[in-house]
Amino acid sequence: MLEGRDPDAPPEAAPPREARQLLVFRVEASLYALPAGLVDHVSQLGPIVPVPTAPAHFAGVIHERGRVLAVVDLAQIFGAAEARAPRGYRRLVVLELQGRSLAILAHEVPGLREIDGDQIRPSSGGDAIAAGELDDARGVVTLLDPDELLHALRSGPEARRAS
Amino acid sequence: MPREAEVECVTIDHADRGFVVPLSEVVRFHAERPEDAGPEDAGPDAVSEDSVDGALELLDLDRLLGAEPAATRAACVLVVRPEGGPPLGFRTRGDVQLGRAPERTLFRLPSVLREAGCSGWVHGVVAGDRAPGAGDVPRIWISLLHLARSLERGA
Repeated sequence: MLEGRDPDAPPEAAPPREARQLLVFRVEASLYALPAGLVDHVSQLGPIVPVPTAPAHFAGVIHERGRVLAVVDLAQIFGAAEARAPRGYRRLVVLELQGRSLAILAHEVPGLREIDGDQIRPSSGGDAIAAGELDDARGVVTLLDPDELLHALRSGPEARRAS
Repeated sequence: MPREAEVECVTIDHADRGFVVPLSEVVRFHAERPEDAGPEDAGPDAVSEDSVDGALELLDLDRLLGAEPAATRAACVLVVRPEGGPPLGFRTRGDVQLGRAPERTLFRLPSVLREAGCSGWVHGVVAGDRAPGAGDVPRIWISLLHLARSLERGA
Protein backbone atom coordinates (compact mmCIF):
# COMPACT_ATOMS: atom_id res chain seq x y z
CA MET A 1 0.00 0.00 0.00
CA LEU A 2 1.33 3.43 -0.87
CA GLU A 3 1.90 5.74 2.04
CA GLY A 4 0.71 8.92 0.36
CA ARG A 5 1.75 12.46 1.06
CA ASP A 6 1.96 13.72 4.59
CA PRO A 7 -1.11 15.91 5.20
CA ASP A 8 0.60 17.44 8.22
CA ALA A 9 3.57 18.76 6.29
CA PRO A 10 4.24 22.29 7.54
CA PRO A 11 3.07 25.15 5.36
CA GLU A 12 5.35 27.88 4.16
CA ALA A 13 6.94 29.81 7.01
CA ALA A 14 4.62 32.47 8.41
CA PRO A 15 5.89 35.77 9.78
CA PRO A 16 6.12 35.96 13.59
CA ARG A 17 2.99 37.25 15.29
CA GLU A 18 2.32 39.16 18.50
CA ALA A 19 2.04 36.81 21.48
CA ARG A 20 -0.90 38.67 22.98
CA GLN A 21 -2.98 38.79 19.86
CA LEU A 22 -6.04 36.58 19.77
CA LEU A 23 -8.20 35.50 16.89
CA VAL A 24 -11.86 35.68 17.86
CA PHE A 25 -14.43 33.51 16.10
CA ARG A 26 -18.06 32.56 16.63
CA VAL A 27 -19.49 29.05 16.72
CA GLU A 28 -23.28 28.99 17.07
CA ALA A 29 -23.97 31.74 19.66
CA SER A 30 -20.63 31.34 21.47
CA LEU A 31 -17.49 33.39 20.96
CA TYR A 32 -14.09 31.69 21.21
CA ALA A 33 -10.51 32.89 20.89
CA LEU A 34 -7.17 31.27 20.20
CA PRO A 35 -3.66 32.75 20.23
CA ALA A 36 -3.18 34.32 16.82
CA GLY A 37 0.25 32.71 16.55
CA LEU A 38 -1.41 29.33 16.13
CA VAL A 39 -3.65 30.47 13.30
CA ASP A 40 -2.30 29.83 9.83
CA HIS A 41 -5.16 31.51 8.00
CA VAL A 42 -8.92 31.97 7.79
CA SER A 43 -10.73 30.93 4.64
CA GLN A 44 -14.16 30.45 3.18
CA LEU A 45 -15.73 27.08 3.75
CA GLY A 46 -15.39 24.61 0.91
CA PRO A 47 -16.91 21.18 0.47
CA ILE A 48 -16.32 18.90 3.46
CA VAL A 49 -16.22 15.15 3.01
CA PRO A 50 -17.27 13.07 6.03
CA VAL A 51 -14.81 10.36 7.09
CA PRO A 52 -16.21 6.94 8.04
CA THR A 53 -15.57 5.93 11.68
CA ALA A 54 -14.43 9.46 12.63
CA PRO A 55 -15.72 10.77 16.00
CA ALA A 56 -18.68 13.16 15.77
CA HIS A 57 -16.57 16.22 16.59
CA PHE A 58 -14.81 15.81 13.25
CA ALA A 59 -17.06 17.03 10.44
CA GLY A 60 -14.75 15.46 7.87
CA VAL A 61 -11.82 16.51 5.74
CA ILE A 62 -11.23 19.31 3.30
CA HIS A 63 -8.70 19.80 0.52
CA GLU A 64 -7.21 23.26 0.64
CA ARG A 65 -4.03 24.74 -0.83
CA GLY A 66 -2.68 21.30 -1.66
CA ARG A 67 -3.21 19.97 1.84
CA VAL A 68 -5.84 17.74 3.40
CA LEU A 69 -7.10 19.03 6.75
CA ALA A 70 -9.27 17.47 9.42
CA VAL A 71 -12.28 19.73 10.04
CA VAL A 72 -13.41 20.17 13.65
CA ASP A 73 -16.94 21.05 14.78
CA LEU A 74 -16.42 22.74 18.16
CA ALA A 75 -20.16 22.70 18.78
CA GLN A 76 -19.88 18.93 19.16
CA ILE A 77 -17.05 19.32 21.67
CA PHE A 78 -19.03 21.80 23.76
CA GLY A 79 -22.29 19.95 23.34
CA ALA A 80 -24.02 22.84 21.57
CA ALA A 81 -24.87 20.95 18.39
CA GLU A 82 -28.40 19.64 18.10
CA ALA A 83 -27.75 17.67 14.96
CA ARG A 84 -24.81 15.66 13.75
CA ALA A 85 -24.55 17.53 10.47
CA PRO A 86 -22.89 20.94 10.84
CA ARG A 87 -25.17 23.79 9.72
CA GLY A 88 -24.70 27.35 8.64
CA TYR A 89 -20.91 27.48 8.90
CA ARG A 90 -19.19 29.94 6.56
CA ARG A 91 -15.55 30.07 7.61
CA LEU A 92 -12.62 27.83 8.41
CA VAL A 93 -10.00 28.77 10.98
CA VAL A 94 -6.88 26.80 10.03
CA LEU A 95 -4.49 26.07 12.91
CA GLU A 96 -1.17 24.49 13.65
CA LEU A 97 -1.36 22.61 16.97
CA GLN A 98 1.80 20.75 18.02
CA GLY A 99 2.74 20.13 14.42
CA ARG A 100 -0.76 19.08 13.38
CA SER A 101 -2.74 21.09 10.89
CA LEU A 102 -6.48 21.23 11.36
CA ALA A 103 -9.41 23.49 10.60
CA ILE A 104 -12.17 24.67 12.94
CA LEU A 105 -15.63 25.45 11.58
CA ALA A 106 -16.88 28.94 12.38
CA HIS A 107 -20.05 30.84 11.65
CA GLU A 108 -18.22 34.15 11.77
CA VAL A 109 -14.69 35.45 12.37
CA PRO A 110 -14.79 38.99 13.82
CA GLY A 111 -11.00 39.09 13.62
CA LEU A 112 -7.88 39.78 15.66
CA ARG A 113 -7.94 41.40 19.05
CA GLU A 114 -5.05 42.81 21.11
CA ILE A 115 -5.34 42.11 24.82
CA ASP A 116 -3.48 42.63 28.05
CA GLY A 117 -3.06 39.69 30.39
CA ASP A 118 -5.17 41.29 33.10
CA GLN A 119 -8.18 41.34 30.77
CA ILE A 120 -8.40 37.55 31.06
CA ARG A 121 -10.27 36.16 34.04
CA PRO A 122 -10.68 32.51 35.05
CA SER A 123 -13.29 30.57 33.15
CA SER A 124 -16.65 30.31 34.89
CA GLY A 125 -17.45 26.92 33.42
CA GLY A 126 -14.69 24.86 34.99
CA ASP A 127 -13.88 23.30 31.65
CA ALA A 128 -10.22 22.48 31.03
CA ILE A 129 -10.44 23.54 27.37
CA ALA A 130 -11.41 27.03 28.50
CA ALA A 131 -8.21 28.77 29.61
CA GLY A 132 -10.12 31.87 30.60
CA GLU A 133 -12.68 34.47 29.60
CA LEU A 134 -12.64 38.07 28.47
CA ASP A 135 -15.24 40.63 27.61
CA ASP A 136 -15.83 41.79 24.08
CA ALA A 137 -18.30 44.21 22.56
CA ARG A 138 -20.15 41.18 21.22
CA GLY A 139 -20.23 39.30 24.52
CA VAL A 140 -18.07 36.98 26.59
CA VAL A 141 -15.21 35.33 24.71
CA THR A 142 -13.90 31.95 25.84
CA LEU A 143 -10.13 31.67 25.42
CA LEU A 144 -9.31 28.11 24.37
CA ASP A 145 -6.33 26.18 25.75
CA PRO A 146 -4.62 24.73 22.65
CA ASP A 147 -3.15 21.70 24.45
CA GLU A 148 -6.46 20.81 26.08
CA LEU A 149 -8.26 21.31 22.78
CA LEU A 150 -5.92 18.85 21.09
CA HIS A 151 -6.40 16.41 23.96
CA ALA A 152 -10.19 16.65 23.57
CA LEU A 153 -9.95 16.12 19.82
CA ARG A 154 -7.90 12.97 20.32
CA SER A 155 -9.91 11.61 23.22
CA GLY A 156 -13.45 12.77 22.52
CA PRO A 157 -15.63 15.25 24.38
CA GLU A 158 -16.54 12.74 27.08
CA ALA A 159 -12.87 12.39 28.07
CA ARG A 160 -12.30 16.11 28.63
CA ARG A 161 -10.31 16.86 31.72
CA ALA A 162 -11.98 18.92 34.39
CA SER A 163 -9.92 21.79 35.73
CA MET B 1 8.71 14.65 -19.69
CA PRO B 2 8.49 11.54 -17.43
CA ARG B 3 5.06 10.05 -17.02
CA GLU B 4 3.50 10.71 -13.63
CA ALA B 5 3.19 7.64 -11.40
CA GLU B 6 -0.43 6.59 -11.05
CA VAL B 7 -2.40 4.03 -9.09
CA GLU B 8 -5.19 2.09 -10.74
CA CYS B 9 -8.28 2.30 -8.62
CA VAL B 10 -12.00 1.74 -8.38
CA THR B 11 -14.08 4.80 -7.55
CA ILE B 12 -17.43 4.47 -5.76
CA ASP B 13 -19.44 7.67 -5.86
CA HIS B 14 -22.55 8.52 -3.91
CA ALA B 15 -24.47 11.78 -4.08
CA ASP B 16 -22.73 13.25 -1.04
CA ARG B 17 -19.32 11.61 -1.05
CA GLY B 18 -16.97 9.36 -2.95
CA PHE B 19 -14.56 6.57 -2.16
CA VAL B 20 -11.49 5.11 -3.82
CA VAL B 21 -10.29 1.50 -3.54
CA PRO B 22 -6.97 0.31 -5.02
CA LEU B 23 -7.76 -1.91 -7.99
CA SER B 24 -5.08 -4.32 -6.76
CA GLU B 25 -7.41 -5.31 -3.92
CA VAL B 26 -10.40 -6.11 -6.11
CA VAL B 27 -10.53 -9.59 -7.66
CA ARG B 28 -13.43 -8.53 -9.85
CA PHE B 29 -16.57 -6.41 -9.80
CA HIS B 30 -19.84 -6.88 -11.57
CA ALA B 31 -23.44 -5.75 -11.55
CA GLU B 32 -25.43 -7.52 -8.88
CA ARG B 33 -27.13 -10.58 -10.29
CA PRO B 34 -30.41 -12.03 -9.11
CA GLU B 35 -28.57 -14.89 -7.38
CA ASP B 36 -26.46 -12.32 -5.43
CA ALA B 37 -29.48 -10.68 -3.88
CA GLY B 38 -30.39 -13.66 -1.70
CA PRO B 39 -33.76 -14.17 -0.09
CA GLU B 40 -35.73 -11.01 0.71
CA ASP B 41 -35.56 -11.62 4.45
CA ALA B 42 -31.79 -12.17 4.45
CA GLY B 43 -31.05 -8.65 5.70
CA PRO B 44 -28.34 -6.33 4.44
CA ASP B 45 -25.65 -8.99 4.54
CA ALA B 46 -26.27 -12.31 2.91
CA VAL B 47 -24.66 -15.36 1.33
CA SER B 48 -25.17 -16.04 -2.34
CA GLU B 49 -24.17 -18.84 -4.69
CA ASP B 50 -21.45 -17.25 -6.81
CA SER B 51 -20.76 -18.85 -10.19
CA VAL B 52 -16.99 -18.47 -9.74
CA ASP B 53 -16.37 -18.93 -6.03
CA GLY B 54 -19.35 -20.91 -4.87
CA ALA B 55 -20.75 -19.49 -1.64
CA LEU B 56 -19.92 -15.78 -1.51
CA GLU B 57 -20.62 -13.78 1.60
CA LEU B 58 -22.06 -10.39 0.67
CA LEU B 59 -21.73 -7.32 2.88
CA ASP B 60 -23.57 -4.03 2.52
CA LEU B 61 -20.70 -1.62 1.77
CA ASP B 62 -22.92 1.48 1.77
CA ARG B 63 -24.04 0.75 5.32
CA LEU B 64 -20.44 0.19 6.45
CA LEU B 65 -19.39 3.50 4.87
CA GLY B 66 -22.36 5.44 6.22
CA ALA B 67 -23.20 6.54 2.68
CA GLU B 68 -26.65 7.29 1.34
CA PRO B 69 -27.17 5.07 -1.71
CA ALA B 70 -29.31 6.09 -4.65
CA ALA B 71 -32.23 3.71 -4.37
CA THR B 72 -32.78 3.67 -8.10
CA ARG B 73 -29.23 2.71 -9.07
CA ALA B 74 -28.52 -0.94 -9.78
CA ALA B 75 -26.25 -2.53 -7.21
CA CYS B 76 -22.70 -3.58 -7.97
CA VAL B 77 -20.64 -6.24 -6.18
CA LEU B 78 -16.90 -5.82 -5.56
CA VAL B 79 -15.17 -9.09 -4.70
CA VAL B 80 -11.99 -9.24 -2.61
CA ARG B 81 -10.07 -12.29 -1.41
CA PRO B 82 -8.55 -11.81 2.06
CA GLU B 83 -5.31 -13.73 2.52
CA GLY B 84 -6.03 -17.28 3.67
CA GLY B 85 -9.77 -16.71 3.66
CA PRO B 86 -12.76 -17.14 1.39
CA PRO B 87 -13.72 -14.43 -1.09
CA LEU B 88 -15.94 -11.67 0.20
CA GLY B 89 -18.37 -9.51 -1.76
CA PHE B 90 -19.15 -5.86 -0.96
CA ARG B 91 -22.46 -4.69 -2.40
CA THR B 92 -22.93 -1.01 -3.22
CA ARG B 93 -25.46 1.16 -5.01
CA GLY B 94 -22.80 3.81 -5.65
CA ASP B 95 -21.57 4.68 -9.12
CA VAL B 96 -18.64 2.29 -9.64
CA GLN B 97 -15.97 3.25 -12.18
CA LEU B 98 -12.38 2.41 -12.97
CA GLY B 99 -9.93 5.28 -12.57
CA ARG B 100 -6.29 6.26 -12.19
CA ALA B 101 -5.06 8.37 -9.29
CA PRO B 102 -1.70 10.16 -9.58
CA GLU B 103 0.40 9.28 -6.54
CA ARG B 104 0.67 12.96 -5.61
CA THR B 105 -3.11 13.03 -5.09
CA LEU B 106 -2.96 10.35 -2.36
CA PHE B 107 -2.84 11.68 1.18
CA ARG B 108 -2.69 9.75 4.40
CA LEU B 109 -5.45 10.51 6.86
CA PRO B 110 -4.52 13.61 8.93
CA SER B 111 -2.73 12.47 12.07
CA VAL B 112 -5.27 14.01 14.44
CA LEU B 113 -7.95 11.76 12.91
CA ARG B 114 -5.74 8.70 13.26
CA GLU B 115 -5.03 9.62 16.89
CA ALA B 116 -8.77 10.07 17.48
CA GLY B 117 -9.34 6.43 16.60
CA CYS B 118 -10.39 6.36 12.97
CA SER B 119 -10.30 2.78 11.77
CA GLY B 120 -7.24 1.62 9.87
CA TRP B 121 -9.30 0.66 6.81
CA VAL B 122 -9.95 4.38 6.27
CA HIS B 123 -6.52 4.81 4.78
CA GLY B 124 -6.58 8.40 3.59
CA VAL B 125 -7.86 10.87 1.07
CA VAL B 126 -7.55 11.28 -2.67
CA ALA B 127 -7.64 14.94 -3.63
CA GLY B 128 -6.30 17.33 -6.20
CA ASP B 129 -6.87 18.63 -9.67
CA ARG B 130 -5.91 15.34 -11.30
CA ALA B 131 -7.57 13.03 -8.81
CA PRO B 132 -10.20 10.74 -10.33
CA GLY B 133 -13.29 12.85 -10.79
CA ALA B 134 -11.16 15.97 -10.28
CA GLY B 135 -12.34 19.06 -8.44
CA ASP B 136 -11.60 20.11 -4.90
CA VAL B 137 -13.90 17.56 -3.29
CA PRO B 138 -11.75 14.77 -1.87
CA ARG B 139 -12.66 11.13 -2.01
CA ILE B 140 -12.01 8.86 0.93
CA TRP B 141 -9.30 6.26 0.22
CA ILE B 142 -10.31 2.96 1.78
CA SER B 143 -8.92 -0.56 1.92
CA LEU B 144 -11.54 -3.27 1.44
CA LEU B 145 -9.01 -5.95 2.43
CA HIS B 146 -8.30 -4.11 5.68
CA LEU B 147 -12.04 -3.66 6.22
CA ALA B 148 -12.58 -7.38 5.68
CA ARG B 149 -9.90 -8.18 8.28
CA SER B 150 -11.45 -5.70 10.72
CA LEU B 151 -14.86 -7.29 10.29
CA GLU B 152 -13.37 -10.75 10.77
CA ARG B 153 -11.71 -9.65 14.02
CA GLY B 154 -14.93 -8.01 15.18
CA ALA B 155 -17.06 -11.04 14.31
